[in-house]
Parts: sequence; C-alpha cells; structure tokens
Amino acid sequence: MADATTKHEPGEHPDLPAPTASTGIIGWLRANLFSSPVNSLFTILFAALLIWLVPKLLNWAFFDAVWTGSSAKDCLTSPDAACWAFVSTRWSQFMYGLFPEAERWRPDVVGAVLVLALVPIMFERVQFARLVRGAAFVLGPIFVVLLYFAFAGDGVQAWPFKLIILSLVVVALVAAQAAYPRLRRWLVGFLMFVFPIVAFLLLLGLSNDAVQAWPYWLMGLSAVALALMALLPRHAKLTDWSMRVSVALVILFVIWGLALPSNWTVGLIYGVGAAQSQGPTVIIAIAAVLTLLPIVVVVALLLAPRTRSGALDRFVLLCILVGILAFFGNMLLIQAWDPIRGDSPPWAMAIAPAAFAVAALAPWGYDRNAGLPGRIALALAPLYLLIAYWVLFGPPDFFNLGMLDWQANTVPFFRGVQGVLPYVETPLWGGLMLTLVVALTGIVASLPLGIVLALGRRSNMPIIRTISVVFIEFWRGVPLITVLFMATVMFPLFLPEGVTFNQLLRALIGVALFSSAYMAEVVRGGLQAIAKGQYEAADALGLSYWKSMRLVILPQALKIVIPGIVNTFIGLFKDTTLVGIIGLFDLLGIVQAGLTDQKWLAPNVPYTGYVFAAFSFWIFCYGMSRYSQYMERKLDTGHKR
Amino acid sequence: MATAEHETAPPQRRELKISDEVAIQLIDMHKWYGEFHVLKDINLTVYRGERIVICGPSGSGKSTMIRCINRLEEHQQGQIIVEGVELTNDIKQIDQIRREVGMVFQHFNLFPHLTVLENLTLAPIWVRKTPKDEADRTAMKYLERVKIPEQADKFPGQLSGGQQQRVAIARSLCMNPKIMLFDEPTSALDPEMIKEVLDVMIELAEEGMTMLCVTHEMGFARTVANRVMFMDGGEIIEQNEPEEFFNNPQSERTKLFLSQILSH
Repeated sequence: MADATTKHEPGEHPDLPAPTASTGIIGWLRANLFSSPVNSLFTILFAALLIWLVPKLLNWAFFDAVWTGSSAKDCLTSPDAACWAFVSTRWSQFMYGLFPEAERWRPDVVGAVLVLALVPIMFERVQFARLVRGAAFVLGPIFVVLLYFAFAGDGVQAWPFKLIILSLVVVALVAAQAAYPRLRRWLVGFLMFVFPIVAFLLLLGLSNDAVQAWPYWLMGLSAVALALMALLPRHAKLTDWSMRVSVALVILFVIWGLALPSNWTVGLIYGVGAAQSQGPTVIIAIAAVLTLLPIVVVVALLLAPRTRSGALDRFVLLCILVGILAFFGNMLLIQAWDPIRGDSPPWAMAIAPAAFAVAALAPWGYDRNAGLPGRIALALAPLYLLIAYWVLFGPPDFFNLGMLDWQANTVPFFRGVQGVLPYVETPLWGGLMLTLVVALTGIVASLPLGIVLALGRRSNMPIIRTISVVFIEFWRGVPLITVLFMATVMFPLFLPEGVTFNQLLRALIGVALFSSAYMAEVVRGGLQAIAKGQYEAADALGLSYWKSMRLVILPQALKIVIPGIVNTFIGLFKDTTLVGIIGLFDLLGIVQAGLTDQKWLAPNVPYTGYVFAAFSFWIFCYGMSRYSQYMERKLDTGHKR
Repeated sequence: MATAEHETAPPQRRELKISDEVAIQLIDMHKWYGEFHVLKDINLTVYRGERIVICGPSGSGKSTMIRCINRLEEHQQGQIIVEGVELTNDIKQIDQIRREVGMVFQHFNLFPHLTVLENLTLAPIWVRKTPKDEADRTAMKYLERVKIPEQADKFPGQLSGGQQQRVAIARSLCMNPKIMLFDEPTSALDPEMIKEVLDVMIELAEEGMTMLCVTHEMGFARTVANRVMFMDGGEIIEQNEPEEFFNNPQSERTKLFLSQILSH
C-alpha cells in the first residue's frame, strides 16, 4: 500500500490521507490548546478560572436565587443571590411602562405582527431541511422552558402557549415563503407600507383631536397618493409595488369620499335648504355637481371594460380625479352650508380653488414621460398648496377645528373606532416597548437616510455635497444627549406659538438624524471600496445613476459594510437608554424607577434589576450580531477567493 | 506583449464586408486631463463593419480615445458623432449612444454580487425593459455563443479569467450593440486563456460587428483587422491595412514600436 515513504515515478504520486495526529479531536486540541508551553499554560489557567467562576455565577443566578415573592423581605432570604421576584412582579411594567393594563394587548399584537412579517423575510430561501433542523435546535429547548413556565405556577398559564403558537406560525411562514417566493414580496410591502400605519394606530389609538382632524388625514392621504402617482417610474405596471400602493390609497380614498354617505347626503340636504333660504347659490351648485359627478364617473368606470393596461392606466387616473373631486366637493358643500349656521371660515374658500388646482395637475403628475425633476415637482404640488394656504391665512389650525364639530356627530364611525382603540398618550409608553419603538424607528429611518447622505457626500454637485457634509459633520459632532436636550428645551422656541410637538416624536427624530449621520459615513466607506470599474461597467451598459447605484453599487457596498451597519444599529439600540434624559421611561429607565420603590429596598435588588436590563439589551444586540454574520455568509459570492 | 504569434487563427486574412455608412466620426477632437493634453486633434471615421485595432505605447491615449466614444471620458473640444448622434452633455444623447455601444474592459468589471446570468440580463431588463424570460433566453443564447452556458448560475468570482472575459463580452452583446469597444481585453489574462477570448472576438468580427479594439495581439490584428492604427503622445501617428502596416511602416516611431513588440 501507498505510504509517504514509498517512492513513486514523477507524475504518478497518489493522494495520501493526512496523518491522524493533524486531524480529529486530538489534532484539534494539539493544534489549538496545547501547541506550545505558553499556550498550554493559558489553557490550564483559563480552565481553572472557568471552574472557579461558573459555579458562582450559576449559584447567583439560578440555584440560590429568589424566584417568588412580593417584597424586599423575600429577597433578603438569600441576599447574596439574584432576586428574580423583583423582576417577575414588575414584569409587565418593564415591558409596557405605564401603558394601561386593559390596552396592553395592542403592543402585543403589534409585536406579534412584526415578528410574523419580519422573520420570514429575514430567512429568505432557507432550505426546508435546514429550517426544520434549525427550528428544532433553537425552538425545542425554548419550548421546554416555556412549557415548564406554563405549568410551574398555580394553574396553567396561557402566555407560554401563545408564544409557542406564534413561533410555530413563524416557522410555517418561513417554510411557506421558501415555497412561494411571492409571499416574501407581499410581506415586504406589508412591512413597508401597512405595518407602520397599523402600529401607529394600534399603539396610539384615536385621540379626540385625531377624530376632529380626519379631513386632514384624508388630505394627507390624497397628497401621498398623488405624490406616488407622480413619482411612478415610466413603465410602471399594476404589479409594481408603487402602483399597488397608489391604487390601494386611491381606493381607500374613494371609499372614504363616497362610502361615508353622511357627508354628502347630509351636506346636500342642508345645501338645498340653504339655497332656498338665499344662501351662496353658485357655490352650492358647484358643490352639488362635484359631489354627484364622482358617482357618475365611478358607475361609468364599473361598466367600462378594462382589460388592456392602457385602460387600466386611465382607470387609475380617473380614480384619483374622482377621489379628489369627491373629497373636495364635500368640503365645499360643507362650507357652503356652514355660513348659514353663522360661522364662515376663510380656509374653505382657499381649499376649493386648491382642489381644482390639484385635480388639474393630476394628469400631468400622471404623465410618466415627464422627466424626474418635473415629476418630483408635481409630487410636491400638495405641499405647495399647503404652503400657499399657510401664507394666505396663517398656520392651519390642524387639531382644533372648532367649526368641524359637526363631524363628530356625522361620523360616528370614528367614535366606534375610538371605543376599541382609546387614545394612549405617549408619556404612558415605556419599558421594553418604548425601547423597541425608539430603536426600530431609528434603525428603519437611519439606513435609507444614511445612504442618501453618503451618496450626497460623493455627489459631483457642490451644493448637494456641501449640504450632506454639513449635515453629517453637525450631527456627528454633537453628543446625543445634547441633541435630546435641545429637542426638549430649544426646539419649541422655533415653533410658532401654540404648536406643540410630541416629546417622543422629538426623541425619535433626534435619534434617527443622529444615527443617520453615522450610517452615512459607514455607507460611504463601502462606496469607496467599490472599484471604479464597476461604475464604468454600469455606465457603459447605459444604466442611469440611480439604477447603477441601486442595482450595482449599493448591493456590493452595503454587503461590505454589514459589520459597520450592524455596529451602528447596536450602538443606536443601546443609545436609546439616553431618552431617559428627557423624561421617557425606556427599559433601563423603568427598571431604575422600580429600584427606588420602598417596598423593594434590599441589597440584591439593584444587581438583579441591572443584570436583567443588561441581559435584555444583550439578547437583542447579540441577535443583531448573529444575524449580520448570517447575512455576510449568505451574501458571500466567492468574489474574493 | 510577447505573444505576437498566437495560434489564434489561420494566418490568411478573410475579406469581410464593410459598408460605406459611417458608424463613428471623431472630428478635431481634443482632450485634456487638467493641464495635460492627452488627445490632440483626433480625426477618425469608422465605417460600419470595420474592425480597427489600435496599438501604441502605454500612455499614448488609445484607451482614453475609445473611452471618449461612450463618454466614460469627456472630451473638451471637437465633435464625436456615434451612429448619427453627437455626444454632448445632454444625458439623453449619452444614454442613447451607450445603448448602441458595448464595451469590454481589461479587468472584465463583471458585477460580483450577481450570477453570470443576472450579469447578462441586468441591462436588458432595466435599460431596455425586456421582460425577464425573454432576457434570460437572449442571455443563454449569447452564453452559448461564448461557449459557457453551463456557468450561467455561477458567480463571476468562481470563473477563470478567460471565462470572465467571455461573460463580459456576452454581457455587452445582450444589449444588442451596433459597435463594440474593446479596451485591452486580453492584457489581464493568463497566456493559456487569451486564445479563448480572441476566438470569441474573431467570431464576432466575422458576423460583421463594428469593432474598435485596443490590443497588442498582433496575430489578432493581422487576421481580423481591416485597419491597424498606431497612436503615440495623444496623436494618431499612422494607420493602414494590416499587411502594409506591419510590413512597411511609414513613421520611425511606428517602426521602433513594432520592433520592440515583435522582436522577442
């Protein structure tokens, strides 16, 4: 048989197995733990350290720990170990802050929906076998622990079962999207466009102001729909996400305009009545036409065939027009009969012509052959109108529409919603929920903003470059605490009298802008690592600047800087604790607040609280870190062999 | 390049059809890098179906010249007219020209994050708006032409240099260009891979593609080119049919250059 001592003719040497001492466990131990005397010494010292430390830790955290109890007295039974009773009695406060107990299902639902939609996206195209194996390995032990908790106390607990069902559904969704790649697109669309609205509505609920201001929500929606339509790429099809969103908004818009008949029927009746009592006849006539026209158009559209894409385009366009007309027709009508009741606000007179302007602009906004600058300009049209209104009549009285009081009566629908989702003001938010809200908002906002800033800093246009540089250097040069303080103390000085700005919102904006400056520099590092040839190849193929960025440069640049991006995310996540400075109670803040409770004055309670807070943060940060490593492996295309 | 006499193709030249329609016209074209005058008074007319090989010492401006033709570099004076469209700062005209002109680079410049097939279909899908399945079919057709259809789902990093360059050629061809620019396509390749790339280029020439090729592959120039051009110091020193160019160079600089690259 062949072995290394046998001689062979040149070119005839066979492949031999490696010596046993260099492979297997023994080989590994020798190569890694006992390769030299110094290495052996360190191995032994480290083993000794572990033997000394681990039992102490286990005793402190588990075996000697106090698991049940209701006050410091119970903690003192084992003062040298953790007192988890403190955490378990205050658990719900640590999770939700002062969120009203009856409403805590709302953050739960938001969290569950987020996990359901996010996890399948995160594990795109996982092989089924790997999924099952991974799920069994990770979830199996967790399920055992959960089941223990379910039966540990008096009676059977429900929450472990909820968690188990949630994780099983998630695994099923991951499997489903591996089989149906389209599901992933839907989930992404849902997360980007629907989830923020749902989360916002669920967490905040409907305030009286929001109910009062619903016409403005409509106006905002119409502005978004218009903007999206105007920005649609030239060859958008109904299957494109942008088109889908626009159409969804438009449909929503039309439903709101038409399906709340109380608006226009009541208005019409009053209008006719007003005309008879010598009201402003012309306005009422116009308003009546505007209100009736949409119905005619919609009926016509329903009857018209719409098979071809051209017809579909026209359908969407008409929907927009109808929506706008229906909405503003209503507004006009409302205002027409309002004077009869004695109050005649000037804004009605401004909004009517504005409505016509928007309606007239819409076809151009929809002209996809217009250049990008033109389309952007049109997309901003609603903003112009708002500014014009502001200039003419002063700041819109957004949340105090006294003259719209009647709507509270005509739209009981909103009162119904309010009954289910009563308003929970943000000072009541707290705990882990608040931490996650701040962190997720910061993460979601900072990445795109950072990318835009990074591209801006590398732009050939001096003005854009200067703006980006100034922005980045300003936000990077200021401590986050300062930003938060300024947001609380200084920012209100710049706002007009009477306009207030939510504390949490200020913190969110501050954190997002702050971390986007860091993100910009991370992304710029990635952009600079891309060879010039990649830009040239994209140019030579005729890709436009944005397409070459999106399809060629950014995918590579972002992949390179995944560690840096996640580093920034983790930093951001931990920086959320600073919102405590401006009086918001995040997880750490609420734990600290709990420590001051007279009932829990025991020496081991602070340790327990801080360890709990630290461990909670660690779980999320470590999760992000692991996921980034997974992404790096997955995106490795073997370029750098 | 010492590889003047490759066994790339049989030594006899094939007569290929050249039309009298103008494909590219450079008129009194100048270019500066800052203060440095790289291209001086370039006048060149390329007819459809021509295969022009451009050679010259490094720094002579040959790469810069062909990079001006699809606006990877900007010229400061004179005119460049490609397929009847003049290159100006107008982004629409630049895009129009880039769609008609394919380019192959020395370092391939494939997109490493995309598979070979995705590299080929990216531009057709996003620039030409070809439906995906149609783009896939076209891409496979060209991959078969460059003889590596089996690599379609690999990433560029997993291919050899010669294979990568063939993918790069196929990527340009997928855009259905009227003109192909080659910027030293074989200079970064190991010697045993040069042939496979040159074979693809020869095949392309035989199909009547208008080609401008910066290369030192003199064997390729002899077999395929209908015109060989020598550049030095930012000027076109001499251009002629390959036979005349190699056997009877007119200028001293050309003679010196040819003796240097052919002598060893």
